[in-house]
Amino acid sequence: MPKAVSVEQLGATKAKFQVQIDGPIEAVWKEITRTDAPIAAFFNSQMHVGAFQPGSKLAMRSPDGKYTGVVGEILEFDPPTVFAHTFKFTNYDDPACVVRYELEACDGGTLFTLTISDLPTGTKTAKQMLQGGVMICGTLKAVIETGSPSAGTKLLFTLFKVMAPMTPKKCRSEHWPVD
Amino acid sequence: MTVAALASHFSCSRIMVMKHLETLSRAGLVLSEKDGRSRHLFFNIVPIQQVYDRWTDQYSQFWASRVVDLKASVESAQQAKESRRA
Repeated sequence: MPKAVSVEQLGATKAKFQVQIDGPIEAVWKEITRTDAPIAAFFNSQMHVGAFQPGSKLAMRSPDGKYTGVVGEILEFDPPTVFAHTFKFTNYDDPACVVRYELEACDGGTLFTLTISDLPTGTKTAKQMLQGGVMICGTLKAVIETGSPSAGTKLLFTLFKVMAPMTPKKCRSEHWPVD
Repeated sequence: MTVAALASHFSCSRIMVMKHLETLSRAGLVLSEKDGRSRHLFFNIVPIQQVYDRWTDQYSQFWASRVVDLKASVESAQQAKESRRA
């Protein structure tokens, strides 16, 4: 039997994740661009942006705003079909990659595609991005279709909250302004 | 990976590989993107995860994971033993 090789082992610099969501494109767009509450599909982090326009800074912070897990710069913003930004984990010194969310109204629902490119191969960033893509798609689908993430995902968010005090100091939000 | 690179791993014709890819694409398991004259293929793991989630619960997930770990551990130990002999 051939030995299984993971996407990460293949050294891919680009990955794609796609899911069909039974919900209107506007609802999906609203969920992935909301700034008024944490976004369950984005690991329950809250998005902070200078402005929704190319060139603006973006940060994904913990719900209490104390810690910033991800920073980036908006590259494309074309409601309700394309949102792309650079993506850098604040706790790793790896180079940034690019995430692109594409939405397409399809069969009465929405076809959601996440493309991650410029993945720095062999890094923790690449590993986490490849693992995270599935969760983003699954949680987004659950939130749009049922109104909330799965029980397992909620449990994970509770764990994040408990572990928050162990977050490295360099991730504190004062080091990552968006304005 | 491009279609040509993928097809080079199989002894069957490129047309046959394309037919299989068409079926996998319809199932949402393969996504493709045109880049100049070539077409890049991506494995979409989301449908697999959806099937997994639908047919497992947290208890079976735990034990299935343990069994897979056991298989990997035993097989890697066996491989290490064989490579030492060789």
